[in-house]
Amino acid sequence: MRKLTLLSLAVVLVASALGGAVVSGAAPVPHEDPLTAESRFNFVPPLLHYGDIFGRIAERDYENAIALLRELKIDFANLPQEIVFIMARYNELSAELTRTLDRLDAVLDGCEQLLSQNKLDEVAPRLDEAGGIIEGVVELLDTVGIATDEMLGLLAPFVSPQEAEALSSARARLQKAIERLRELEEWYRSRLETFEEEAEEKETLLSTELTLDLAPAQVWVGDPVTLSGTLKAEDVPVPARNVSVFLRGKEFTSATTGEDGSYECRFALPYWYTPRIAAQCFYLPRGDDKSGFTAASSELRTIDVLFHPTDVIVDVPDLVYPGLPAEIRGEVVSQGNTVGREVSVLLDGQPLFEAITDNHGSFRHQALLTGETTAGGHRLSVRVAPEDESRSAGASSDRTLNVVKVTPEMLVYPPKFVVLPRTVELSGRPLFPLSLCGRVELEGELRSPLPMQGAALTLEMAGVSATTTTDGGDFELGMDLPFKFSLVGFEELKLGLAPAEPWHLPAERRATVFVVNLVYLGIVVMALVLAGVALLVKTSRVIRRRKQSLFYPEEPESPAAVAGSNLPEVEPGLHDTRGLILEAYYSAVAAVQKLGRVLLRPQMTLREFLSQVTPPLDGLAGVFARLTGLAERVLYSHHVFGEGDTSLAQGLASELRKGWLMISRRF
Amino acid sequence: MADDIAAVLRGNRGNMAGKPIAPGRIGLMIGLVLLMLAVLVWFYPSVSDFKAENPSWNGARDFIDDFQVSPLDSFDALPGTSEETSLIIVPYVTFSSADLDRLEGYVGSGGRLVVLDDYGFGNQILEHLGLEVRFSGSQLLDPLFNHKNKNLPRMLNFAAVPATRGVESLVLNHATSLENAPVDRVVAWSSYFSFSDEDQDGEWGEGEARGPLPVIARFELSDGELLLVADPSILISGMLDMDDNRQFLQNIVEGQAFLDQSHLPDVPLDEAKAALRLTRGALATVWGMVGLILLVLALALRPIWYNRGGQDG
Repeated sequence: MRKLTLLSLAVVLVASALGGAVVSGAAPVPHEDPLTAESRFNFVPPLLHYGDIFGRIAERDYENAIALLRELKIDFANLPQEIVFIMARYNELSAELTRTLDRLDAVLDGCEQLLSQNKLDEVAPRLDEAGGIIEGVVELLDTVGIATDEMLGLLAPFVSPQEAEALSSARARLQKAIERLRELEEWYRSRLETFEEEAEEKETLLSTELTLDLAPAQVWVGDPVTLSGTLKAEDVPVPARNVSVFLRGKEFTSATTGEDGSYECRFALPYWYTPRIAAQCFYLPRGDDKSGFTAASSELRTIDVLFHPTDVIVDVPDLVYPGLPAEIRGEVVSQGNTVGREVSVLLDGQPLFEAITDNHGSFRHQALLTGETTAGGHRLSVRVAPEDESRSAGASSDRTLNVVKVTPEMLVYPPKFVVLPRTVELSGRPLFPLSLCGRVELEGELRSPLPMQGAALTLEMAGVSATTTTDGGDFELGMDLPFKFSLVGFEELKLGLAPAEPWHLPAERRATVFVVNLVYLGIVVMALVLAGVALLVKTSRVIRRRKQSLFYPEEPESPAAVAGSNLPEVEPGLHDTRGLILEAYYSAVAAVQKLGRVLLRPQMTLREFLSQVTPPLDGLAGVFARLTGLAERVLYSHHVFGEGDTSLAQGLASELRKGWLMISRRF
Repeated sequence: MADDIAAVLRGNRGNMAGKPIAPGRIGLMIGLVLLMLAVLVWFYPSVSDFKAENPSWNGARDFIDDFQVSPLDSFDALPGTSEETSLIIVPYVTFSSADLDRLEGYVGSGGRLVVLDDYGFGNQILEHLGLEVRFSGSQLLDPLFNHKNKNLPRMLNFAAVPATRGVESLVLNHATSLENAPVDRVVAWSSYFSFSDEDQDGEWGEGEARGPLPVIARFELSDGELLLVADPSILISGMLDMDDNRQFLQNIVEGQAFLDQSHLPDVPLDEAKAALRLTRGALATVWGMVGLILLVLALALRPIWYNRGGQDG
């Protein structure tokens, strides 16, 4: 038995040890453990990328150069920290260089345009600015060169021999791109010099002067306004020239100078409801004038605009529920007209409703938010359109609309415990015609300040659920529980509410119910009782036998009875001397077992048994030793035994049995 | 006779009884071993990729627990209405036509289907749904923007959609990319430095697609939604806390969520566990219980039965 137990344990242990190999299976693993993944840096891509960026810059493709720089989010790169730091600085330098060159490009383009328009007064400061920027570019290029050397120096210790070639190629490409940047700087410097020479040449042109007067200075929207002035070249009127009128920075109209160089422009002021409008006039030489005159611009004048300002006062509820109407009202306030004004209302930029003001300038609307509107603050914009007829400006007001959803209050009174099974039912299932069921009944209340109808109430427990609909208030919900073998102890009960209205939020309540499964308990108790009874019967029988053997010992009637159940039965023939000796030995062993309180176990040798019984046998030990010697010779040698040996064995056995009888009778 | 006994004793080192082991005892030992093995299998944690019960780095236990996702062993267990539910699939086993119809119905009735695939059978679903977009099946490598090495590429470019709210970067694990994804459907791209390693040499070569490559895309189908992610590993426990992976998963797991387990390959341990679950389920039925009662009675009454038999004999 012990061997078998050890064998079983070995099987289990081997199975568990091999388990890992077996369970991992043979499927390919499409991932690796990120914690133990090997870390490897790659420096080639960023160097090649910088080469690309500088290449774009050298081609004056600044937009794409900036786009490429944005791709290099160096903080997310897998690079050593010190390299990340220097690359971040390198990124900043590259970005600054790109932006500076882009600005230089724009300034020089502006200079070119101003020169083409003979705006010599404006071009001079721009040329100075371009010169300053070029000096800045030179400094930046020097810094980029130093940073490049520093970065490459820092990379060196990290580069493996395998990467060296690729890195060397990337470095060469980067340095070549930097050289092209030097060529670009030279190109810009040359361009600047060209513009400076052109500006110097145009200094011989006649300088012009343009004046501007406004009448009246304050004008109602829609009313006429007159702009006038004179164009002169070194105090000589310049006739028949086109003068452009700009309002709010955009060309609005134009006029032609007369014989005295004067011009006048009269127009209705646009319905622009803004307190001031900037006005300016320009003369740009065209055709042959380009070789004779410089351009001229008037002073910037401001037209004070008159109109009726408008305001709108909006009143919204503190809380609004999706799916339920909410009254939004307001009042348009203006010294102009407030009646019949158009009002549009937007929620988060999307049209919500439109309204027209009444005779008091008020409006109101029952707005209905869709069920999909999320809870939280939403921007409500109220816009009143301007009305040109009454010269009333428009108005707008933004308010926050607090959209909320209500969670119904759910009070649940669950049973403290449920007993299973409650009923036995027959069902039509083909495989399980008999089903044992329990039932749980639940009472509760639903409260909500808002109307509720057709809400789905779902009770879940032990893997089953039941649903009913409710309109709020008190409710009762029952559910059949399936019989489960393991359903004993505490079981969680979940009650979920799914309201039908968008203004309600789902709700959930959980409770714990103690479930007593009588069948399960019955099985356990029955098994325990049966096992206990069996144990008691067996134990009492053993005790009774021991008592009988201790207090009422009897002479064994036969050698087999003496030998007991743990000794082999020997049935010798008439002249079977070996069998007779063994029979004598076992009959003695039966007595010795009781005397010595030691059992001859199957795994014991005869000699081991002898050594264990020798101390308690005391004076009989020598007798039993002789008998054991005889038995060993019978079992393990080919010695031929005679009648004398048989008699000796039987005598020794008889002596031992007598000894046992004497000792046992003392008790 | 004595020779027989001597032979028995010699063979059994002095087994005095000389009796063969009782068949009942052998049966008991076999039963014991089977019981111990069953207990071992029951409690031995699963190590299968993406399995809900696997608590190690390559399992989905954390995902299941943290996002309140229900593992799904069969599409039959899906709720009747798919609105406000999400079904997440790692398609590593081929789909039957019934499965594909079921998925089409799920999306059609308003569910959100999230297909996380790299080298599996996700394209089978896309074909069935009549979409042109495909999982490329080539590994996406990023030598610069990655976590530790190019096999763990880092995504940095996202469209402004609810799925990417609060997401600045994602880390994938031996991912692939999407092909034929319309630009307006793409939710996330790999970096400018990434590439599709079609010849599996680990280096970019002529003809291989370069980044940015689409890795996540979203499609609206009927009343439902389909989200494609070119890497299922994003949900394993080892990857959950990489960069903003957790936030991304939080964004895409809406309402009642299910993780399909029926299209993952089974290893022997899983099969043994499934058999044990089946046995347990059978024992939980009325007939199983009746059988168990009879077995308990038989075992409990066995000593009495033997004793009576002995007395009669």
